Order: sequence, then C-alpha cells, then structure tokens
Amino acid sequence: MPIKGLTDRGLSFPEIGQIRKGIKETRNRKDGSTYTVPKDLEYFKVDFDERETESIAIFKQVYGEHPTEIRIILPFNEIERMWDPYLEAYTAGRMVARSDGERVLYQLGENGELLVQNGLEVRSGKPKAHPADNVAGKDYQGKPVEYEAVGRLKVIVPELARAAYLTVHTTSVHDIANISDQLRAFYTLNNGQIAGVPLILRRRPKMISTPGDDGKRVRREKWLLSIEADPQWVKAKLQEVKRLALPGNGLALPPAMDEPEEGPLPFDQLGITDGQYAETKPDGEYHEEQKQQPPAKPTNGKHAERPYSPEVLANKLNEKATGYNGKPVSPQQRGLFVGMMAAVFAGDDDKRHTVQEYLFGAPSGYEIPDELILAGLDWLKPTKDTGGAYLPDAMAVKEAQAVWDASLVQEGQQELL
Amino acid sequence: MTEVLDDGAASLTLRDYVCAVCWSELDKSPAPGRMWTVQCSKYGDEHQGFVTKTYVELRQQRSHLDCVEATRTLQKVGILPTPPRKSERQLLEELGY
Repeated sequence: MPIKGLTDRGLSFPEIGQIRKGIKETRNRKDGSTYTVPKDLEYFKVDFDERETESIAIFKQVYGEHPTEIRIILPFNEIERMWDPYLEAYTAGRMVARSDGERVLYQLGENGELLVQNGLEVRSGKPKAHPADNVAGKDYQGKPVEYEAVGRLKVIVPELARAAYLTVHTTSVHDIANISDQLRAFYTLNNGQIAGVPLILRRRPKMISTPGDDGKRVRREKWLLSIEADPQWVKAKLQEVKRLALPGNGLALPPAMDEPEEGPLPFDQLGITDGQYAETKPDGEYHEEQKQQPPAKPTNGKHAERPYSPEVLANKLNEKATGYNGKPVSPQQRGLFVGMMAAVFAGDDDKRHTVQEYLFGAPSGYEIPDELILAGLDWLKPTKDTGGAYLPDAMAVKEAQAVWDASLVQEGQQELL
Repeated sequence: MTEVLDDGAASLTLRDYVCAVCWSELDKSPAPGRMWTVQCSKYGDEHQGFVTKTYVELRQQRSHLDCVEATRTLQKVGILPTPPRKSERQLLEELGY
C-alpha cells in the first residue's frame, strides 16, 4: 500500500519508500474489536510514497509484485550513517528510550524530561547501563515499557537512478546481528569502501530458536535478511586480483636501473606559461603511447612498456624531476596538478592522497616539491576537451589506478571475495 | 491508531514533536474522559508515531551533505551521469568576474 506524505519532509536526500519483511494482519475479537498480529512473508513488501509513480512503475517492472531479492547500493562508507540497529522503547507513539544493548543512549522520564542524552545521564554525566529487566520506564497507565530490537538500513535501488533511498525495516535480533556482521565484513575486506558496491538484499531461510506455544523454545524456519555482494562484481574483483598477481604488475621487485635517461625538455621550454598548459605534444618517453597495452614488464628500466608498474612509474617520475631541480612551479600549475589527480580518481581524495604519497612523497598536492609537480604534469599530460576543460592522459589514469590497486595489496588488505 | 493523552502529555507532544511519517505539525482534538487525541495535522490518523523536532532539524541539516555524497557515489558507479566539466572561464563568469 502506498505511503502518503513520506516525501513531504523536504529532504535533499529523501526517503521514498520502505522495505519490510512482513505485514500486520487484522483479526477480530469476540467482542467485535480488532487487533493486529504480525505475519512473516517469504518476499519483500515494498511500499513507496504514493507520489513516486515513476519509481513505483520502474520497481515493479524490474522486480515484480513480490521480490525475493533486490539489488541495492549503500550510499555511504560509514556504516553508522545508514544502519541503525538499536533497542528502542515506545509509548504513546513516541520513542522514550534507546539503547545499544550495553548502554542507554537516550531516555525520557515519565513527564517527558530528558534523563539520558548521547549515552550519558543528564544529571550525573555518567553512562547508564542497559537495564537487566529490559524495562525503559512506565507508560501513562503505569504499565512497564520494554525495549525492543529495531533495525533500519538505508539503501539505494540502482534501477531507480535517483539520489533517494528506501529504508529496510526489521525487528528481528537475528537479522540485526546478521546485517551488522555482514556490513562490518564488507567494510573490512574492501578497505573501508562500501559505498557504491553492488549488493543484493535477499531473504534466506534459516532455522532459528523461537518462542513456542507452550512457552518453550522451538526451532522454526524463518526467512532472514542477508546482504550479499553481486556475483558480477565479485567476478570482476577476482579477475582484478588475478591480474595484479601476475608477474610485472606491480608486485615484482623493481629492475636494476642504469644511468638515468635524458629527460624531456625542461617544462618552461615546452611553451607553458602560468595558468596554461600546452596542447602540443612535448617530446619525451612519457608520450610513447601504444594502442595495444600489454602488461608492464620492467626489464632494465630503459625499455619498460606502458602502462608502467607502480615501482617503475615512481622511478621515472623521480628521474624526470631531477631535470626540473630549481625550477619553481606556479600556483596555477600546482592547482592544475591537483585538479588532474582529482579527475583521475573521480574526486575520491582518499585514493588520490594515497597515490600521491606513493608517487610524489606527500599525500597533499600542496606539499609535493616543485620539481615533482612539474614531472607529474608531464606524466598527466592535461589536454583540453571540446568544452575547454582539462582532462588527464588516459595512460596516466590507468597507471595511477594500478598504483592504488597495488597499494591495497601491499597493505595486506584482501580484496572482497 | 490514534494516541489519546491527558492534557499535560498532549501539550508536551504538540510542543516538542511532529508527525513521524511526514514531519508535519500535530493537532489535538478532544476525546472522551477529558483526554485529547493527538494526530498528524495533514494526514490525520493515517500516520502513526511522533518524532522530536530536534531530530527533524538534525536530519534536515545533514540531508544536503548526504545528498552530495550519495550523488557522488552514484556518479562513480555510473548510475547517475557526471555533469560536464566547466572550464576556468565558465566558472569565473558564473562567479561574476
């Protein structure tokens, strides 16, 4: 059933729908009154805001009425920004307490006064432990209000092609533990990069312990949530790991170097003035592009083919920089360098800083020595596109990406399998 | 389900809370037993639950940054198109120079 008013909140990054595992069945009592009981489903119940007609149509076209798996993308790298697993207590329609199972993070008193905020008691400033009896307080009728597990996960459905999310709701402690573990595993195995990784949200059957009719525990099959990596992405990642593991792909020792080759023309003789970059192709081995790009196999350093391995590339840049010793770089040239490196990594500053530190000795573009900036600009070879914007050389992009990939392997991080 | 509250709780709710679904202001109307019914001013009893105004303000402050980051993520993976780069001259013209 469509939700009314969900997008009335006026958020730039709006919630446009909700994904649930079950429904509430209405039943009648003998006295004619009604009550609801939760009923688990074997598929996902997806409700959109009623005004999201286009998204509804796209979703139904792709997934049908009863989807059992949904492709998702997580919007951020920080897990806590999109996954809220808590114990929460509600009364009179509002949350009166929240806990992480060990500490009470937020609590209101019976008169609405704030008792705990940000995990500390307002009066004493000390942490408050989660109550052993799981009772958060009392409602206005004096009945105890207990904590219940709640998990909310923000996901983006890629087929909708929008910067908008759906919230996956669950109240199962098994789901919450499972999703928490899976997100932590993705985060660790992929070096903290989980935003944009193609994942699949599924329901998987699992035998779990549940309350029986006689008060005892019985094992029943329940369809739990599971977040798994998209097989196509896993395949591509494995191929990338395999490629990096081959000889000459950045993991072999650098070759013995003879005397450094004569570098290209000095930067100021290439027709470069402050704030500009020549569109002519300067001489120099950085511009020996080949249409066929075999993997780099460093031999004696003189005749290594492009794309260069990270070690060879770093050596080449340092050699080129020796030819620019003593030559100052203008702020515009330094800014151009930073802009080109940012373009290589599509604005991902973490990757850019890592690669810059490896190749140029400093993570920030404004700490790199002048001669290396000039050598870097020769390597990046910025050229203007039809719109007048500068873009880095495609070969340099490839080599920079290889440096990033090799840095992950060298740090001992395993690729996500 | 519509909440029925006493006078104090109803006033407190209207002061500090908004609708949990659409974040609209709340309304109260008389209920039997000198109680009050509190519900969403826009969608009535179709919406359930309340959230604090403080929470809403925090979410709205973070929303723009969230949108920027989410958009960047979607552009990186090719789901959203990357806007064409502007030249230095275009940027300066937009800035009024």
